Amino acid sequence: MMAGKRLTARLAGCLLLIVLSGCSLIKDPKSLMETPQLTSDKESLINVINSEIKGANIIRPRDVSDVSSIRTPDLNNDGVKEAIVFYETPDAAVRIHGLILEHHEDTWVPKVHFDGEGQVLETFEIRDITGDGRPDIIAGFTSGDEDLQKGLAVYTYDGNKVDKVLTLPYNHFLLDDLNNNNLLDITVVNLKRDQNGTVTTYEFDNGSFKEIATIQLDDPIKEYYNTVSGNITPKIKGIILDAAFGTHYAYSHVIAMIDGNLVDLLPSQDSTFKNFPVLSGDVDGDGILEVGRSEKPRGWESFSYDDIPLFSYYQWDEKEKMKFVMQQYMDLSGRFYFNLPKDWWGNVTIDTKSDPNEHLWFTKIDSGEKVAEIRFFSISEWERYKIDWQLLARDNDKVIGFLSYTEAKINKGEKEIKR
Amino acid sequence: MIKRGIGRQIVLHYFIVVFVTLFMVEVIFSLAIRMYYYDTIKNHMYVHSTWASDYFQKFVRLNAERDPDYFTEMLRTFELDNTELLILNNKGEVQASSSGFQADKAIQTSDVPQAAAGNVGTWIGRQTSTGETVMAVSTPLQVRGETRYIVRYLTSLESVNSKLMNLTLVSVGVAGAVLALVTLFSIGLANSIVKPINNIRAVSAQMAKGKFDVRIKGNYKYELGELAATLNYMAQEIVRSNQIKDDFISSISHELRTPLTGIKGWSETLKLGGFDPEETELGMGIIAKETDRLIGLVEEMLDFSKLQQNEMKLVITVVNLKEILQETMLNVWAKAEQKGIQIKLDDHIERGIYVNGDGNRLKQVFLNLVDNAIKFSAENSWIHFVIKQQSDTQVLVEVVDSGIGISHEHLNKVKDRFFQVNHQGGGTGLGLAISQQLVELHHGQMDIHSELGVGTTVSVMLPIHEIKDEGEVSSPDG
Repeated sequence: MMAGKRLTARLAGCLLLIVLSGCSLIKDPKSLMETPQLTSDKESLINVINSEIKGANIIRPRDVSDVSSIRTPDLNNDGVKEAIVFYETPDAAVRIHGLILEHHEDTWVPKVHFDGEGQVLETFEIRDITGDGRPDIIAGFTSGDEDLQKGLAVYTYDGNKVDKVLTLPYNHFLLDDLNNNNLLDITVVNLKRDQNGTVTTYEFDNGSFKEIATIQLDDPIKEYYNTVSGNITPKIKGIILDAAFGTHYAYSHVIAMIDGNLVDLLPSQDSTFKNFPVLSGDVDGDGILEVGRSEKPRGWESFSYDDIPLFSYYQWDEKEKMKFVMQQYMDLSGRFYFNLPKDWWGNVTIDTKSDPNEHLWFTKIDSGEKVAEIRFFSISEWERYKIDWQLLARDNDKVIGFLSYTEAKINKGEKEIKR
Repeated sequence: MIKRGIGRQIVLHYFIVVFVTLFMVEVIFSLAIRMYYYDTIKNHMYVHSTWASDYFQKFVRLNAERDPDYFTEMLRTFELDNTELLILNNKGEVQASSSGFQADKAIQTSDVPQAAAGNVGTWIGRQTSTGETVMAVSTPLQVRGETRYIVRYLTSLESVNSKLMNLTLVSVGVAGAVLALVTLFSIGLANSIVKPINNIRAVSAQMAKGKFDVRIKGNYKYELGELAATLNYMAQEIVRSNQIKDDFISSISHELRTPLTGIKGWSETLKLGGFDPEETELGMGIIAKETDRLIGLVEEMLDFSKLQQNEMKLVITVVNLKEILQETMLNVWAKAEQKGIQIKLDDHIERGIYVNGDGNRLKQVFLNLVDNAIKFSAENSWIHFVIKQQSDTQVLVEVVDSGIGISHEHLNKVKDRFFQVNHQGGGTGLGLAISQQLVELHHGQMDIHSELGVGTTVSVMLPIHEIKDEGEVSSPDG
């Protein structure tokens, strides 16, 4: 009986082995992975686009804020979604094209092809800039070389055809309502390298864009590495340009729209000088822009400027001109940053024996008393220290810890510059 | 298919055992293979994302979030075949997607918060938009010491699931085939047990109807063989004991008829009258003697039936064994004298021997033994009573004669009830059987040694009563 059973079991085992080992019954699980389906709506849109552009490539904009290539706003404000996509035909005379499709019942119908400029799609935004309630297409193009002049184009779509309502050369452009009239305006920054820069604001009026304000800046520089628009004071709007010169020195312009004119609020470069390309912006999230500066901690005057970067942020104020907002220690290798408590400003410095790759001591200026330490640990060391120290950051082989002798806590959170 | 019965039972048991085994194996196999497939896919995505994240940290612009190509570069670095890649910020909002579409809303599935907390998150579920089963693996991407982005891979499990379904179906098929095969085997195996049982059952049914001459044929093994042999032996014994019973009835009838014939003859003769007193006395004497013989016969049979039904009550006292033997000798003296037989007590013990027992019943045993000895001894021979102490606790009484003896083949049966070597000798054939049982009731043991033509020795072993106090001893007829 037992023998019979065992025999049967063996037979079954062999059978199972033969069945399972030989043929394609068991496959590499990886080979069974599949890209998830898009919704049928998106799927059909892609199919329609692909058949419409006949083998050309859909392109993504080189834009940090939105790299998606297919967008579906309601362009002509008729309650029906349109789709906009840019594609490139490398061998044709016009390299970049746009395509607008309309959603009809369950399918997408190609409506209009229109020509783009240049070789590369830099940005691609959908905003109502003409003030007619219909979103417009704002696209930036280049010829592919970053240093060359970029070209800005604004397209409108009325349901049948695409009109190009604006073409401008630009280095940077900003969409905002600088003159507070509830109409978006477009501010274009142009830089003639090593000569000067021009900031011009345009607004759409009566069927075309009009220049409403302009200012020329005496900037013999290579580039504006950062431009940002927003509130300079709670009432005044404007833009901040961060200009780089030399190897990595920089300064900033704070340009406000006052009574319909663009005014450079800080014509002197000294008050905004920085030896690192600090980014200006709304650092503390209060809706008002701050200008970034780099400062030497007290006691480091005789050291090279590059050693210890403390980044300070100031708001422009009519009376004080530069009002301190916050200060930040930035690790130069980008491993971490540390927002200094506000009451440390002017009272606490970094001890001169500190090494930014090993150990940092924050001490009081008057008494030399330690208030906090930041230290790099190996992973094994960290196991011993982690009871007292707070974790600041961690990478593959190093742990960065923070030790506070006061109430100050690790402060990194969300207060880095918004971009 | 299979007749109701033990065969079906066996097949059913096999079936259940194999079915349960296969079922469990099947379940374990399905779970294991599912785990294998899912884990492999998960690991594939996870390993790729850790590799890509490492590469991204080291070589791709770590510090260049303002670079227009930042996300495009990221998508290219993390890209993995057959997956949809999403770059999320730590709130789950889509920053970039490999599908090219603008994302509609933040992603809420459980893998994202896990990744935001710094762990690898996995989620398996249905896409609400397409109803497709997908697996999502989210890994955190550290920038400047904090989880700034989440890399989320999404792959469809549809073909994996259908493959798993296939595998499960195939293995169920294999299991089914195995089950069928084993069931076929078990039918054969069941037959090897069921056939002999059926055969034995048929024969025993015939026996139950009274046909004791049938026998179970066939050479069976183990328990079945023993069962067949036992049944055969039982039938044989039934036949034999029937024979003994028949013999008994015929001999008892004969025994009863002989005295009755004498009594009837003499009573009819005396009824005619006219005899002188001497003749009348002789006739009455014969009638009385024959009646005594009848009473003896009936009492013997009464004793036997009491013993048979365990209703024999012994009056246990402490009795002097020597006294009993002497009384026995006195009782048979006259009978022995008639045949010129000498009876002698061979006493090997100085002191008195006492046993716990019923004096009358013990005397009955010895009377029976010595009676038998006289019956089967030649004239002018001798009979010895030997009494000796066997051990501290046992006494042995032997009745030794030089009579005709019992052949070897009959020796085993003489103690059986109703057995008689020679039916002409008279008697019921119960004497030895009764004696044997009486001795056993006294916790003793009775053995017979005999040789044909030389003589017979019957030995009775009895436990000795340990005397502690002389006052305990009482007379045997008390």
